[in-house]
Formats: sequence, structure tokens, C-alpha cells
Amino acid sequence: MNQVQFLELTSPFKDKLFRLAKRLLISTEEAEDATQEVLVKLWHKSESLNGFNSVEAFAMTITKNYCLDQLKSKRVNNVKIVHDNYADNTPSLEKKIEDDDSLDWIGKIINQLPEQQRLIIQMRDVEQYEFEEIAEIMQMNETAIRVALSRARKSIRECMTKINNYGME
Amino acid sequence: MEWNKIEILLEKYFEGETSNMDEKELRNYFSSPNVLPHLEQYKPLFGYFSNATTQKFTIEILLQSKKT
Repeated sequence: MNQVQFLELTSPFKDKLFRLAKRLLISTEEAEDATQEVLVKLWHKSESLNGFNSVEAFAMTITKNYCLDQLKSKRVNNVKIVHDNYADNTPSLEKKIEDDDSLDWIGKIINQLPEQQRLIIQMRDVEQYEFEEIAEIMQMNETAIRVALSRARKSIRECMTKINNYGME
Repeated sequence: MEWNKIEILLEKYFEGETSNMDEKELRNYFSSPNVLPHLEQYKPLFGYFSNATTQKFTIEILLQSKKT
């Protein structure tokens, strides 16, 4: 496989990799770096990609694992800092979101969810993957995916309701 | 009745029981101009999902960059 073929192969889903990375890492810059890294990893494996029935699912799996590793190492590095100035005077999520005029408040609510739920919401509600594909990428069975998805959707609903009521009381 | 169907779909949606086709129907409904007042609250949610795929990976892909 040459570079042109590789870029052709990955072009239908590279945006999805980026959006998945951004859902986990939040920062656009970090998500771009992660996507770049994942594509390079994939390129080094390009000779064996024909063996996968879905290169896209494989690429999504690599992206998920790469970003989760990034978050883990970040957490390790942050431990000290967090303990130094830990005071819980951060405004509540509702307050923060109300103060923010951007239309992305739903995105902010989603980004507060646990990582696993964020991944599943992203793949299902944004990218419209089938449960079978999500199960493969997450290495979970379909029932567990549905349970996590339902939990995530209900948390989003609950948070939206809180925000809608905030300021009305 | 259309609205009744949407309410049933919404219920299933939150239980994680909707198919991709059902979810498409929900997104279509909530992007239409005639959403019923008591369902208005869900408009931003499905609106967000419909718009979220506009984010693109626009930077040039450098395959030879070999970070160690």
C-alpha cells in the first residue's frame, strides 16, 4: 500500500477518529495530535490492514486506546498539582453552562460523563454506529453497551432539565 | 398520531432500545419546525447530534513523521 492508497483508505473515517479523540481529550489541539499519531500507527501497520474486515473499527479502537492512555498519564502527572491547591470553589456545572453563551452546552454536558459513556454516546448518537460495531470497538457485549448508553442518555436528560430549571426558581 | 409515536420513540431512546432508523426519525422530527411545545426541551439535544459531525480533521496528515 502506498501513501496515496492509505490516505484514500482512511479519508472516509479520519474525521470520526478526530471527533472521538476530541470527545475524550476535549482540547482540539490534543485531539489533532492524537489523530495524527493514530494515523501514523495505522500507516506502519498498513501491510496487515487487509486482514481486518473493518479498518474503520480497528482505527477507532486504536484511537480510543491511545486517548485513554493519554488521559491516564496526564492524571498521574496531575496528582501533585491537584493536591496543592485543592479547594472546591469551582462553580457548579449548571452555573458554568448558564454563563456560557455558546450553543455547545449539550457538548459540555456530554463531556462531563464518564469516559466509557462519552465514547458510546459519540459512536452511537453522533456517528450512528450499529451496536455490533460499538461492541467490537469497546470490547463489550451489546447488552452492556445498551445499558451504558441508556445511563448516559438519562444523565444528559437530567442535566438538561436542571439547567432549564436553573434561574427559574 | 405522529406525536404519540415520537413520545414512544423518545421513551425507547432513553432506554437504549431504539434502532438507528428510529433515531434518524427522532433527529428529523426535532429539526422540523413543528415540534410540540412539551417536547421542545429535547430540540437542543438532537440538534447537537445532527450538527456534531461538522467538525473535521483539517490538518495535513504527515505519515513520515516518526516520533520515537
